Amino acid sequence: MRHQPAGLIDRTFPYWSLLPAVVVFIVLSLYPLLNLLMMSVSTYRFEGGVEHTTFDPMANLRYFGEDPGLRPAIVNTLIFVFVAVSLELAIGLALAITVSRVSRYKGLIRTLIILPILVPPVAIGSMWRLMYNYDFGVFNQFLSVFGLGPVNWLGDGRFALASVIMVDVWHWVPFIFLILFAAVEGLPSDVVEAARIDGARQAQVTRYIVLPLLRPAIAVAFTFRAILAFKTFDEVFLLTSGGPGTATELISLHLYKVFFAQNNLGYGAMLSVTVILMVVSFLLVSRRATQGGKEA
Amino acid sequence: MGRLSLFQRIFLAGTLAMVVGPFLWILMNSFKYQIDIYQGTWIFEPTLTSYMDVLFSRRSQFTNNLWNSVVVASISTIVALTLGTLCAYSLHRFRWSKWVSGGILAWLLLFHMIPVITLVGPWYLIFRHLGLYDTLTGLVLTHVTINLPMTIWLMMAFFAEVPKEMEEAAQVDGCTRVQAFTLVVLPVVVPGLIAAGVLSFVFSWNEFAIALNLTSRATATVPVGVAKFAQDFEIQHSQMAAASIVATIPAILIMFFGQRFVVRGLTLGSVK
Amino acid sequence: MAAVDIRNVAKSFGALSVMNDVNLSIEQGEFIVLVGPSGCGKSTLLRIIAGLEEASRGDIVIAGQRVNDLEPRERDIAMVFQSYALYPHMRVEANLDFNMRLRKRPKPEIEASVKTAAGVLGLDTLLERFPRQLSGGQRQRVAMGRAIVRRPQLFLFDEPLSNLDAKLRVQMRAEIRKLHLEIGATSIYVTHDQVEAMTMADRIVVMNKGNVEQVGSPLELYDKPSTLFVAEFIGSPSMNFYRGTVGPDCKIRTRAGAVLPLSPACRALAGQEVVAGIRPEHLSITDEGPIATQVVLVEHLGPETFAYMEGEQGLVCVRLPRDASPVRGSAVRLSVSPQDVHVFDSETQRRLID
Ligand SMILES: Nc1ncnc2c1ncn2[C@@H]1O[C@H](COP(=O)(O)OP(=O)(O)OP(=O)(O)O)[C@@H](O)[C@H]1O
Ligand SMILES: [Mg+2]
Repeated sequence: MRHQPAGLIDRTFPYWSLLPAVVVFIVLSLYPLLNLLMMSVSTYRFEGGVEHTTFDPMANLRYFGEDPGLRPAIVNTLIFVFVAVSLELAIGLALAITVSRVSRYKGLIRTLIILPILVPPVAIGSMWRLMYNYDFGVFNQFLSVFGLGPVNWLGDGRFALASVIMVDVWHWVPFIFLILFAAVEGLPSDVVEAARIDGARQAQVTRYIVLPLLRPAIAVAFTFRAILAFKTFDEVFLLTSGGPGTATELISLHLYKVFFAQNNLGYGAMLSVTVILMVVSFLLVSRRATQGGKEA
Repeated sequence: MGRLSLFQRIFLAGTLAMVVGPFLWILMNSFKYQIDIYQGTWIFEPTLTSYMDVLFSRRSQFTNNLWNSVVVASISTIVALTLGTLCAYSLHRFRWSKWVSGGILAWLLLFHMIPVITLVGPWYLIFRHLGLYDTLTGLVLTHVTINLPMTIWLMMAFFAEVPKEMEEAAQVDGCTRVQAFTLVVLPVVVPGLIAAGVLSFVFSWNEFAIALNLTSRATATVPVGVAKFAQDFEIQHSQMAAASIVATIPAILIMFFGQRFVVRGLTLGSVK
Repeated sequence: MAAVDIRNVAKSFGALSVMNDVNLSIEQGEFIVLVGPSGCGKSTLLRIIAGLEEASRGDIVIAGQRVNDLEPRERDIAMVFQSYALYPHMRVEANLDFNMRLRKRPKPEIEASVKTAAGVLGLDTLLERFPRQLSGGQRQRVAMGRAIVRRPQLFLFDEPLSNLDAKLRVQMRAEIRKLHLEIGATSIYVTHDQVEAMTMADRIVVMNKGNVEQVGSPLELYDKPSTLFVAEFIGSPSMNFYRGTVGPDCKIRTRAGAVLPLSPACRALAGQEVVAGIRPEHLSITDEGPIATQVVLVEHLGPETFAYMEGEQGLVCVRLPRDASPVRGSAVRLSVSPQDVHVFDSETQRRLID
């Protein structure tokens, strides 16, 4: 009983299975990125619907000095990423450990907690915009019960960035929680039990067994979250669009404005390349740092 | 494990209230007349006016947005899942040279780090050239591109869990390579397919930055529609609330069914 | 015509060479057991025969046809894996007839084959279950069933019993052997358990570090191991070894001063450095034996008793009748008859006399 020899489709399986994805990447990510590099050293002008491209890297470099929004955008982004991600890691970790010790309704609690990740960021933005509303928002209603406020959460430069960070924390704690909760639940239970038999109290088990074992998962959660935090756009676009003034202007919002409001494609591209380099180098450094820590 | 201390109980209850509270408050406001919202009343006569306005009023494009979102999210999910699964299998199973597999994986990682908004500009130019600007096809292509890295990682993690012997048994049993993949490996990684599919769909459903810039009135998706309520000259607060609620429901429904698989997928990806 | 011919097969993984030059000819209907320590290349050889791994050099010939370039599915073989590798998403029945369905056999034929195989292996009541609903022993049977349903020309087994408990292992051992006698198909069976090898094989192939050390029937290997490695590997407890020099009087003088007798055929070896091997059952306690020892440990196994004794040469194992009970710590002398001493060249490690 002989089988047919392998057909063409079968012999070329390794190739045609890989090819479509590679084509998509080349056409829709590699090429656009090269395009971006090209744009960053050119200036674009539209005249009568026709675009004119001139090679002129200096022109775009000059904008760096002339762009008043750039400095606040970078500073705000760094503050935003650092504060939001730290808070999210701390709260998410505490939550993961706490929920893992719950004996009943664990599944229900988990489901409830992860709800915010599912909400479209735009909807989160509009929900919180209502809640932050100066006249009838729930926060000011709450303050007025104690005879305080009202506070202009999004309109006052002193509070705006903090308010935006608060929304981001609400949105993303569940994500950190989900990753770390899965990791806590996946810890080898015999190790924890052995520690308890060795006489460790719950706090000690957490401190000396659970946290060290969670280190890799925490590093993963941190990296993932930091990448996303640099990209934050949607909620802030809806909440403040960067205002008041430049109080909540993040780098991604600034890029959007340069590209689509000022229509300055050349400078926008150069800024994009700068941002990409910033994000990549930040992640490489932090990766080095977390891995270095692991060996120690 | 052990029992919760008082402090832990308060922490947990507080967190749950903070998570669920905003949903309830928005839900409440979506059933109010505009006037009740302004007065901040807690006791009011519920109405469906906002939902009616959002979904059926002449001026509102929201049903159109919903349909666009359904099309874009479904098609981009199916395409990303197909391409991503094939690519992941090829990388996992066949002996590609380090340059090929390493190159692809490194590019995925790099691409994942790039803020989406930086690519919207070039995409805009390319799509204008190709006549794909302001079409659902163009939007689908971008969502596929964005979702591919995650799909490939997730599926590679799931493929790595399939014992090598099982595929070898299939080969000895008479399967061609393609049959070993479709008849034996693929059914075993169904949980992974569900996880990747759910994540892709939810991402695509929620995606805003690209849709905002590559679509216009006729091709706008739900997030763009929701943003519109907040940006109109005269803000319609009750409609904003109702639109937010409607926009959230599909993702929550899908995740409700797929949660189990997504959690397993994240565990595979992050614990190792 | 041999059922399987392995000619000059060599294998390396990148720069790592794991098999040098293996030659083996297997007759139609034979039950061959490949045995050897972990990492010696048994699985690799089996996988090369199956087509799951490519030989770096040499040919595999099955039923007269060179199969090097054929896919596994084209070689008409069945394989039972150590992990069973059942398809978790198919019921037992679908697992069993997967091959026949792929080959598009007519339905009645499939049903009949599954029924026969299920009957032979006692799987009749389990056909509707999924693999996860089976015990380890039942899974093992399904894996066996999957192989026999299709009546291939060659069966390959890679340690199929090592995940079973000791009792089940002994039982399945006998069943596989019985099955083979009924079906009569050529089989190659990999194990690292030398008891399994001795009890099941028509011929045993002992492998070591990617080389075939010796091929022969179980008793040939036991009685006339051709290398020191085989002598040590086959038999449990293991053979006892003494290093020494052959004297002109046809006796071995060990380093510790004992004098072991040799058969007259050894005259030619005078002056040579050798290793002498003696199986536990060939040593006996006598007052004037040449080996002086002290009893350290006594193991009563029921049918027999093993005593371990400390001598100048290290630990020696001796098989005694079941009710023998040497006192721990007492000094005893051991003797052996000349024809029971195996002699190996201490340099080449090969057997010196027959
Ligand atoms: N895919 C591979 N890549 C590199 N080396 C391998 C590979 N497969 C096997 N080896 C090496 O080849 C040698 C033989 O392996 P093999 O699996 O054949 O041993 P074995 O005799 O079956 O051992 P065991 O009894 O433990 O199953 C080992 O040294 C192993 O490390
Ligand atoms: Mg092996």
